[in-house]
Amino acid sequence: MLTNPMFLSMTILNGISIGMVIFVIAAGLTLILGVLRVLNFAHGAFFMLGGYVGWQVAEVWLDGVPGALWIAAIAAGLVLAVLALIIERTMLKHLYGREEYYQLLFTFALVLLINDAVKVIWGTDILTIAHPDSLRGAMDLGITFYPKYRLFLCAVGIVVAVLLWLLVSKTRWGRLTRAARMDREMLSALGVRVSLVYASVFVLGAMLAGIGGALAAADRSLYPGMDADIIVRTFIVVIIGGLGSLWGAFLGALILGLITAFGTVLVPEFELVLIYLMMIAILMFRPWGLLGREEAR
Amino acid sequence: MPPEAAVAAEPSAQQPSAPILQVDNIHTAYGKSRILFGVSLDVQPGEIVALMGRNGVGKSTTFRSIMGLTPPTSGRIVFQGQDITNAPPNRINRMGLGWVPEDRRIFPELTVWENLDVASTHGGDKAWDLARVTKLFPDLEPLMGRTGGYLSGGQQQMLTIARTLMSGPQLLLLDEPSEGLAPLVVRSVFDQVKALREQGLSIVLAEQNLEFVLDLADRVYILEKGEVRFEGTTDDVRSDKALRKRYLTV
Ligand SMILES: Nc1ncnc2c1ncn2[C@@H]1O[C@H](COP(=O)(O)OP(=O)(O)OP(=O)(O)O)[C@@H](O)[C@H]1O
Ligand SMILES: [Mg+2]
Repeated sequence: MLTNPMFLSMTILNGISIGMVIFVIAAGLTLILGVLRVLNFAHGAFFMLGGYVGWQVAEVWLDGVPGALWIAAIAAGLVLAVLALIIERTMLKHLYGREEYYQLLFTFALVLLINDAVKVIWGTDILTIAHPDSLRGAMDLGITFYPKYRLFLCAVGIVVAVLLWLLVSKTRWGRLTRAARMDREMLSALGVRVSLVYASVFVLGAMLAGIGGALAAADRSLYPGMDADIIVRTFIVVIIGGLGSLWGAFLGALILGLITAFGTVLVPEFELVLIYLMMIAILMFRPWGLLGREEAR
Repeated sequence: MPPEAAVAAEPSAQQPSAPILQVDNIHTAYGKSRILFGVSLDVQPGEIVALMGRNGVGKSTTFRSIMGLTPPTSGRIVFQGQDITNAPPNRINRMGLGWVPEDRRIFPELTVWENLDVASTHGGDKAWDLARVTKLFPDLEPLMGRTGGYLSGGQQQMLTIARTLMSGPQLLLLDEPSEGLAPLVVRSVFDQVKALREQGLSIVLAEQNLEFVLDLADRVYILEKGEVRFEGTTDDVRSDKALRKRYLTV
């Protein structure tokens, strides 16, 4: 099968597009983990909720309106940002520096709450969002035809990676987040309200998950409980990439996407097993992840 | 044990202006382990006050209490007439108190310039900007792009002072700036502290290097086991050999 160049290139593109969607979620998760030191179990649920909010806007409120998906994605990002801000300011901020299981219990409770809310509001049917007109159909890449919308998802991942990298490495906000992750106390003694830096990181991460959820819902289906599979894969990406590392998450997402794509066609029953084997292999040689720092573990 | 009597009455008579910082009978603990037992001190505007005492007597803890990092369990801290006893560190800094920690606490993965930039919170004295700070520490200028973790001890000491200056303080809590530095570097840190005074800063200096203190400070407090055991002028310390032997490592 893999000797067929058309099939090979399609599988590779599938892998990249799967990876880039996971990356958009993993980027926020790893940022939150690196700066706040909170493992956010609810990040997959944020992604799912973004998908449902996107569906509500694109398929119900703006059904038939051109560009509905773009508005839906922005709406999903905003809804998740506001929700994250409320969660962080009223509850999560009291758990920083506590023992980790408080945070795990809290974010796990969010998973259950969001899933129940989704079931109550949208039911248990499988939902999908239609592709926008401009990205319907396939594009001729010379070697193969490939769905335009998936190419778009690949581009989204790359754009998010570059924008986040610029934000973290070149802006004052980025400098503050990096300083906060190194030495929160020192930064506060220099006059910075570190709690606002924390809140902004959590909000940004949730917003990305929300936008990613809405955009991905036009490529795959929505159903309650879909977040469980997503969060497992996202954790794997963050772990193999190195906790807190943006480019590590990017690399990890690409690897995971490609293994998923090739595993699905070659050994469909064992696709998830392959992913775990890959994770074990990477951690055997680099226990702190591909681009992680040694002391981070 | 009460502070040595000879000097207790002196300071207020000598300096009638209102103190910029007043620490009044603070008790501080880390969890269950109690460290400070009623420390009081005051600083007049423009003064350099030294905080001395052997290892582990509570000098750094006094600074942490003042900065709000480890707030006291009782007692009061007043800065420029405002009670800051239970204020958060970022607010205390923005009111004009700068803390230079003993272990320097450079952000190791940020460049020198980034280390300075994160501290420019524009809360304190806005006259302290990058130009003024680099004028005071010209040696930092060629290092701006260097990663903080790769600086030498002397360079890190400069950077940590410069960084705190970027936050615009009126009073500096300077914790053992000469610790672990070669004699020649200690000399240049000494000159820098002197230059800071000339810029109008008030300074509380925790220091074990006696020479350093005697040449710089106006007044001295000596701590032992979390209490002030002596309070007086630098000359008192210079002339009293028994006192030095008793409370300071010689
Ligand atoms: N975070 C902490 N938790 C518990 N105890 C601490 C902590 N920090 C300091 N101590 C203890 O508090 C006491 C006073 O420490 P402190 O650092 O204030 O002394 P110091 O006068 O600054 O000493 P040095 O000259 O060694 O810097 C010491 O016994 C120390 O072990
Ligand atoms: Mg100390």
